[in-house]
Amino acid sequence: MKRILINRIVQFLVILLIASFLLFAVTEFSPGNVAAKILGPYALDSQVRMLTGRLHLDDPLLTRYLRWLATLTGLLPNQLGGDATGLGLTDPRGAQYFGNFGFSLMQGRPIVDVLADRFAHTVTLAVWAIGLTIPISLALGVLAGTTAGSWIDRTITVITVTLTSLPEFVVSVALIFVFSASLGWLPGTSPLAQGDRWSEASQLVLPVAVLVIASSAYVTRIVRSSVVDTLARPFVRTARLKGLSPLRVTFFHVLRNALIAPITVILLQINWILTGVVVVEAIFAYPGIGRLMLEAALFGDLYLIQALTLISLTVAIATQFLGDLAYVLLDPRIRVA
Amino acid sequence: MMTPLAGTAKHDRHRKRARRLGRILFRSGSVSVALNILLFWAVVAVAAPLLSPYDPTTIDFTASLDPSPSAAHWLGTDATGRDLLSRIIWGARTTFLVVPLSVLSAFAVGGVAGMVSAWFGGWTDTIIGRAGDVMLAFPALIVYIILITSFGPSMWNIVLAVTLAYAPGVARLMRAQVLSIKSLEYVLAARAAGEGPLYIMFVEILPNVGTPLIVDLCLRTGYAVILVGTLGFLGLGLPPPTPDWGGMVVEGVNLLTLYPHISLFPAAAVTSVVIACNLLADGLRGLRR
Amino acid sequence: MLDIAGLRVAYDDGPAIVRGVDLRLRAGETYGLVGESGCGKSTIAYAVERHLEGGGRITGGTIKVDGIDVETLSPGDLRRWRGSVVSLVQQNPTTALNPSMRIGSQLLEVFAGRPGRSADDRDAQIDTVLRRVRFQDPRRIRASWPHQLSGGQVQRVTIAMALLTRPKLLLLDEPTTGLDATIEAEVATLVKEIARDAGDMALLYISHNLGLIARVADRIGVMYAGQIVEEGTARAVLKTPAHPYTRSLLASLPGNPALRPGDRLHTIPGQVPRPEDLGGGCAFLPRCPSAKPGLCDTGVALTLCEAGGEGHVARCLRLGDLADQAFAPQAHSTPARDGSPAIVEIADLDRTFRSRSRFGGASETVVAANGVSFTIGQGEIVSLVGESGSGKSTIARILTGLDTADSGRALGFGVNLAQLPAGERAAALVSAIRIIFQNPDNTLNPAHRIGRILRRALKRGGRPSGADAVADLVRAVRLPSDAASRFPSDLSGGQRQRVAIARALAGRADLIIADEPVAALDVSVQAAIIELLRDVHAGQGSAILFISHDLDLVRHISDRVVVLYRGTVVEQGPAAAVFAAPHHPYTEVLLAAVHPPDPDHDAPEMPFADDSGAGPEPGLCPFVGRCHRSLPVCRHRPAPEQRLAGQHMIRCHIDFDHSPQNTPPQPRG
Repeated sequence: MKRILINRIVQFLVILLIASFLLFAVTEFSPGNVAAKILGPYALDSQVRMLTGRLHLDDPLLTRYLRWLATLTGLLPNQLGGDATGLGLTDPRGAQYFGNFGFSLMQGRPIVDVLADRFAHTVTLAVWAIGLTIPISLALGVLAGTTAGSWIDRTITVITVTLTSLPEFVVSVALIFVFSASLGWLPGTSPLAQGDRWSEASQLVLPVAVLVIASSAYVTRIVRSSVVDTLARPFVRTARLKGLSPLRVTFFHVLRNALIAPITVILLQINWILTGVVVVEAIFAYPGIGRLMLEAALFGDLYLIQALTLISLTVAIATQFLGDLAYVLLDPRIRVA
Repeated sequence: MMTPLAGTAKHDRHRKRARRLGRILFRSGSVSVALNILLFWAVVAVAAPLLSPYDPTTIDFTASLDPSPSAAHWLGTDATGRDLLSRIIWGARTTFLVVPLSVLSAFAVGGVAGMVSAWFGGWTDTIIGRAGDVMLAFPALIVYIILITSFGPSMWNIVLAVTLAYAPGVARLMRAQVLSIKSLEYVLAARAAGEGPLYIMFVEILPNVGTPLIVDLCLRTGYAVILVGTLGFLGLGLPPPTPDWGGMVVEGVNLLTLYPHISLFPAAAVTSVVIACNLLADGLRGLRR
Repeated sequence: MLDIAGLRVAYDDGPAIVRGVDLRLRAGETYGLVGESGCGKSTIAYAVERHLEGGGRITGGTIKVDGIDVETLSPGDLRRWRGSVVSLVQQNPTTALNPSMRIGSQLLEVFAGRPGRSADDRDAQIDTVLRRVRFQDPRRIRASWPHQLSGGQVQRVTIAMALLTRPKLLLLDEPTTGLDATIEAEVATLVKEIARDAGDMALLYISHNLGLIARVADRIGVMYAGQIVEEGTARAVLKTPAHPYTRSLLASLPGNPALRPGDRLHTIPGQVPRPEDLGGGCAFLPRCPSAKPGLCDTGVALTLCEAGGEGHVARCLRLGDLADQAFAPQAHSTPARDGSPAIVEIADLDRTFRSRSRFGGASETVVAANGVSFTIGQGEIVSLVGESGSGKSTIARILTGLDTADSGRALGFGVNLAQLPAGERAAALVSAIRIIFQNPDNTLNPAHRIGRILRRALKRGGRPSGADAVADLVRAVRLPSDAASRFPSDLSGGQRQRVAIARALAGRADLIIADEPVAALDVSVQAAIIELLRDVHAGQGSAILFISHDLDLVRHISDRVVVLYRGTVVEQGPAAAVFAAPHHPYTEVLLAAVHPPDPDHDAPEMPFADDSGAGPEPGLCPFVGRCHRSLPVCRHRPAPEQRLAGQHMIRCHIDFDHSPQNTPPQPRG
């Protein structure tokens, strides 16, 4: 058991390292490019050359990657120094601290500060979405699975198949059209403007609804098919033939086994919600890191993109890791080897 | 001691199976609806120049004053006065070029990787598997954002992003399929008969990996349509003025109260294609006995 | 106790699977219901429990248990009734228990919703029942997870579970199918004991294995295509079978006592009909040697006729005409060969597998071959015998080049086969050694037509592969002439095995390796495949390496026998010598597990193999942990090879010259 755990943790770190290297390699593909991007389209060749020199962009890729890693973990100061002279940027924390991603070119501020503003907003959105998705999809999935073939199951299936086919932007537009444009019940954008309690809460409703609709439809289908598969396994028959009550059969025999597989899917869904966040935040003008990523991509804000994609990669790999771990912990065939 | 093939009954069963396939493909409501939708859009995409009443980028200033549907513009125009029907027709072209290209490329890369991984096992398998684990951490949207940050938006970057994001999943599925078939007796028999790896992979194994991969292909095509639409919607897609359904939806968002058709018609177009893909996947899943 | 009258069961809108079954069980009786796959015997058990799945429903007749009509029970009553009045033991033990619940909790759960017992009482009852199914340490078993037990142990747990509430009727649905023969014998012994001790509990034992049924049942019902075609006391049905089906089936079994060595098995033509092909007459008609047109194809043919005393009845109108007609065994054309030159000489073959679990757990080592040495002579039939995991199939894979040995030699055809993968073998060598697999469902590529499969085999064998050659092959294995244009899914299991044999014929193989070729086939078609294989052997002079767990069959067809246990050859020699005493203790256990369809057969009882754990230290006798005759020296020194008279070898410490084995061992503990 301990061995499996250590094995998994090592795997997690190795994958994170390789993924971050790929990310770094692609974003800093050609040396000249980086300096030109930082300085913008009107920079002179001499300025580009000078910055290339100061940032040691001529070093081999691996050296630069290791330096980048050391900088962001706080082992080395960043290349420009604390006051980042020449670009007119200053970082009150100095040049050496954990989480040092450098400066956002778009906002001219240290990236940690840019993130700090936005991060909590996205977490709020994601927590609400996940917190609602899990109970809704478990309840609907188990209901449909245990009543497979009935009208309840067919209704749930038709609805979930339709909803998984709808892109988030279509769902968003439809919800805005109905609840905002036509009925006027809810705001069509969610800039998290200050206001009374209701107006703040009401701004969250539509973005959360979009995320929940799209992801719970999918998870419901996974839970349903897992329940249906488990119901067909002989040990369920054994339990019934023992004369156990239907409730006992469902909870102790069906669910205990049927929910092992979907846990991985649910955790991966967290990952997916983070992608959905980009779309939803863009549509509703929601001030989170998803919209920030989009803005950074459109602006070409190199360091900000690096920071944001590294964060989402870490979350993605961590959920994979947790899903794997949950599987190991829940299945006695693996746990008790 | 002749053992007759229980003649007629056996034959009946064979015919019955063929009929079942036919029923699922052509008569079963959902699958035939799905095939018809896809066929419709494919024809529209191919024949776009013949079908579209206007040039998709020509601006009709009088229409832009009232973009609602009219006799001249059946589906109305967008806010700048471009004919919506023509733009949707040309938008089909974008979708039906980029999506199949991306998905097929993902399946080619993933399929070969999965097959090789399962067939050779050992270190090959470990390396391909680990590479897949790393790639699975990159959602398609993130891959694309990283790519355009370095290389700028282009169709080939969409194809590359989809390939990188979907190939690991395809490889896993292919690997699992090949592994389960690889140990079956008929493959062992072929190996014992001295057949080479290429013969076994393509003649003995490939025809039998079938259904789950085709189902997956349909599902992933649906996802890719969503992704391409989303990229357009986010403004990360193909540079304007190329008509692109996702981009058309976003153009109308601010006019939802007055002229909802500007967003809703292209949204319906995207949705119809995705639903068709999912229905097809669902219907084909039924083929697995 | 159980009274079934005119029961008919159908699935969805399909034809009836159970077609009018009458069955009565008295208290304290054990009834053996025997039939081939798909004949509806399991469906009866589930109908009694009122638990038909997959759209099954009772379309006629009544089922009464202890006087109560099962159909009239309310859902609540049905629940209390299940488990307390009727218990069922399912076929596949490994999937019958919840994998994520400890054994103890699953046993305790039986009492849920049944008030009136204290916790101590329940615990005591569980321990008693676990001891009853011969677990030495009930506490350890209760704390285990299902995956930690072997298949035989799990089946004993499910039997314990069924006995826990002292039911009045115990249904056993193929409780040993898929288990090793020795484990099968254990479970059968257990069932017999339970039936003896249980007083007035009635048992319905369902199996396709006539030998097992003979061992446990008081009365036997023989099912064919959804009907009971013959019923009577075990002795009457097995000793004086009346119905042509029962008679042919008994005659086709290699355990048939009338057979002499070298005789042909009686072969039953055709195959079991599918329900949708059945007409109104006798279902066995197309395969019956004494069918009479105009009589047997009408509904009258199904009349139940008196066949002897004590309620021995059969559904056949022609009983009178058949009474003296016997299936006289025919001698086989080829005499056993002896001392022919070797075509493959295997010496000191080693193969060990290391498996690592996907989740990074500890690695396991499985020894599949450990110093295996034996010789296959030209035109000989050599049998490899042993339980699953003994390494039989590994040797087959090494000889065919699907695997290579870690060390050792297999010299034949001028090369060392042990180190030569199939891909590196010359075409002539590849077609000289052909393999026939066990599972007919997977032996042919479902995407290819039979003609294409045979053409490819001919081409690889360097022979003309035109339509004529394919037709010749099809004829040689007695397949219908249109088989070449069919897909494998259009053929029955037996027919697919014929194609596999044709594939071996296509290369004019000198050595055919048959890996359990009939184990997955219906009982009534097994003999035909075995005889076809023997005809090929006789006609082409091919040697056959026959891999099997069926000792009756092995005794019947082999020239020489090699007994494997965990990769080690524990005994080998000419068939006659191996089957005659003295035996290696393991061979003794295997032989004790053989049950011919004879109610008088008295098999010596063997101790239960409770530990399925790791073997002893390398080098020592691998059987020592299970051995009922082990000596202290067995745990210190490797067992020596003893050469007895007539090329007979036994690897054991026991001094066979001075301690003749004539007393059956006493069970330990």
